[in-house]
Amino acid sequence: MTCHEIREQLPEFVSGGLPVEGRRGIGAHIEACPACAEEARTLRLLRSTRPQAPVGLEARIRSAVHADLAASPPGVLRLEPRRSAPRVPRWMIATAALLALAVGTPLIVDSMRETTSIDGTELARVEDGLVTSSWARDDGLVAGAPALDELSDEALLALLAQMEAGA
Amino acid sequence: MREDPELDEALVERARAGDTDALNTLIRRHYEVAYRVALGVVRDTDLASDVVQDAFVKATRSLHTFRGDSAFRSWMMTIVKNEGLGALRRSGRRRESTLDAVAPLAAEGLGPAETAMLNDEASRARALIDRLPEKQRLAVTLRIDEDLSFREVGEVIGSTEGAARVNYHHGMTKLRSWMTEETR
Repeated sequence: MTCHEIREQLPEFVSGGLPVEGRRGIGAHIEACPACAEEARTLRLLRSTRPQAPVGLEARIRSAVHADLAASPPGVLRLEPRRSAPRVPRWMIATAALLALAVGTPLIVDSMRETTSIDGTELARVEDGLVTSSWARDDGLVAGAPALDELSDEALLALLAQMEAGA
Repeated sequence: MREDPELDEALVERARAGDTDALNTLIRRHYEVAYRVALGVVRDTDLASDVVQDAFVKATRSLHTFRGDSAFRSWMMTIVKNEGLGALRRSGRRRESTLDAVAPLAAEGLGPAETAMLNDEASRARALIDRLPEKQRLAVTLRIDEDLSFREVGEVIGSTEGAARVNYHHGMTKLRSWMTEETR
């Protein structure tokens, strides 16, 4: 292996996360390569002094999460997703909602007060006139728009109806 | 040692079904990493704690959107990173250093003088990491501190696996160069 390849694996080597064969190979390289040995020493030093979370943070997070769950009105916050059998093709509703949303977004933002939710899914929160909520998605995107594909058909239709009423 | 992603997914499923113990386990398992990611973004210990708390609240609200396409850990850390960036924008501040958060070195088998010297070296290395551009800084700390794979690093910093690899190598090259300059 080259030094470049060795260095890519040094974090796992230092933390002990490599299988025995991998450790042996890298260990042998380090014994013969002062530059890689120095980098391994630096990583070991950094790893052993990595910042620690303050005492009590875990309990504080737990309290905040459970307080938020308890304080949410029924239907606004839920852990379990609600699904219903589609009556209208989802792509058709989603496309219509996206088009309507693209045209009507300023209107929605102006008309919202604090938190807007439909079918239990929080769509947006307004702070100082700005939409600040984010929709966390496991595809790595945190979008500044409602996750339409997560809404039920009823929710999408309700969103369209709300926008039409607002217009 | 890395956590088993399947186990996390099972906990997510249970949490979605209303199991608060599962939710607490997810928090316990990931809050330390989340704190360091937040600290890497906001570089302020108090603000980092606030960011982690808010991120877990938002993640719990969004748990039903987690589809398992990525590991729960990188999904969670993406939320933490974005929450940190949002907090920075809202507060309009950017602290210069995370030095006060560096953990003291465990002094096993070392004398006080040697321990102090190594702690000083670690603090200087952390200060140099703070000088790296954001993506390089996160790539370096996520690899060194948390053993995240390049794929996971990419998911958190919003890039491809290849770009995460490049960010890590550029960051480490700069770090090595700066450390060498300092010791001259």
